[in-house]
Amino acid sequence: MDEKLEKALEFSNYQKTLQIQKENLKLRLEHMLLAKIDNNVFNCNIELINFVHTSLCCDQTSVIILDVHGNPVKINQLRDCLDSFLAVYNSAYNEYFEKYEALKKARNIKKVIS
Amino acid sequence: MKKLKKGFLLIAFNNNEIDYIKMACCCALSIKSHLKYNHITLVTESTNWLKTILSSDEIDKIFDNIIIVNPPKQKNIRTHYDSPWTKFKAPFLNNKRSSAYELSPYEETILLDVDYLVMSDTLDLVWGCEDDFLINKDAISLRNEKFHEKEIRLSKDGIPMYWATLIYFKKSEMAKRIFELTTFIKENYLFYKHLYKFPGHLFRNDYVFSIAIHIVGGFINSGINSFPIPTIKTMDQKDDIVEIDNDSILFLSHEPKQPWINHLVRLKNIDVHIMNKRSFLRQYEQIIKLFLR
Repeated sequence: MDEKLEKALEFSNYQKTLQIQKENLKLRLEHMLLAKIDNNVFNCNIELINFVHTSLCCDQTSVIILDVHGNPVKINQLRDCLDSFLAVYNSAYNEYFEKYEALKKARNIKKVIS
Repeated sequence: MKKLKKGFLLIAFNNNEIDYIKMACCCALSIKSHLKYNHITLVTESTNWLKTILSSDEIDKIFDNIIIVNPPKQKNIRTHYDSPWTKFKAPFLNNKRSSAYELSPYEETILLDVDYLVMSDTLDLVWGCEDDFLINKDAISLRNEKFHEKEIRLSKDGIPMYWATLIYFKKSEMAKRIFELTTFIKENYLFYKHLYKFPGHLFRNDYVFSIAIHIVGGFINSGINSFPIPTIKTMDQKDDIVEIDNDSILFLSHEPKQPWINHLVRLKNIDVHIMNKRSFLRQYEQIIKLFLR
């Protein structure tokens, strides 16, 4: 096989593996962003965190937010809820960032899947 | 028997080709290693084989409870693959699943296929949820691709297919109705096959539960939620496992349209449904070593 073609195919294989691993990191992030409060599971996204924070800043004592299934849930302990969401969010994104940076530096398949 | 609060129910019946008991041990060990709530009940026909492969102490460490039942009487032959190049047929004794509601000693149960490896703590989130019944309808391959249309709907333009791989239920009116319906559908499988136009002759719990959910949901597919992670990561029968460690699995995943092309895929802290049974069983000793000995 032509050397250039061989290298191109090798690179294509590397790119595909890299892409799959990036998608798997996103899937893991999705897992990690789930937070459980009083038997309700929430997806800790920026919108939710900001809403709870804004409600707290406006001295609201409770808010209604939707869980992962779209069920409305009344939250009374806003401070505790915000702290939990922030802890989950930061832990999830710190791990995602760390793993993503490692992937960016991986220049061959062995390193990508290590 | 005293009702236990929450736990996992695994159903396993061996045949000459596939050792489902060994797979149940691996599945149970993965649950014990990754989940906080990990009470496990095994439903099987006998403990004889278990006692030949493990010591009594080891069995007690893996299973908290074993229920002995008569094996299913069914002629259900399934074609399996082990890589794109090897295929074999094996009996598929799977029709006890509709009895899970009656068999479960728990108030809240997660019913799991024994070819499922729990590698994260996500299932801990499910206990105590508002829903009486949870089941997923989405699955993706190791390469994050959607499955063939026949694994998404029961037929072209048919109802969505739910995966009976992973089911959560509470002892409740809703769950009871669904399981009773699955028994009825099982007994009238041929009728429902023609009505819902699903392919093949293999008895599949995925079809049975999809139809039951369709009926219970008022024929509009409403009211049944998915697990918090709605997608089941699934290893195809033609993929292979290279190695397993505590929290990750390295796979060799083939391209369906170009089966001679393989990609290495590592899943870390992600639960996975292992469809290639022989590949799973090749890792039995390693899983026992990792999680038990």
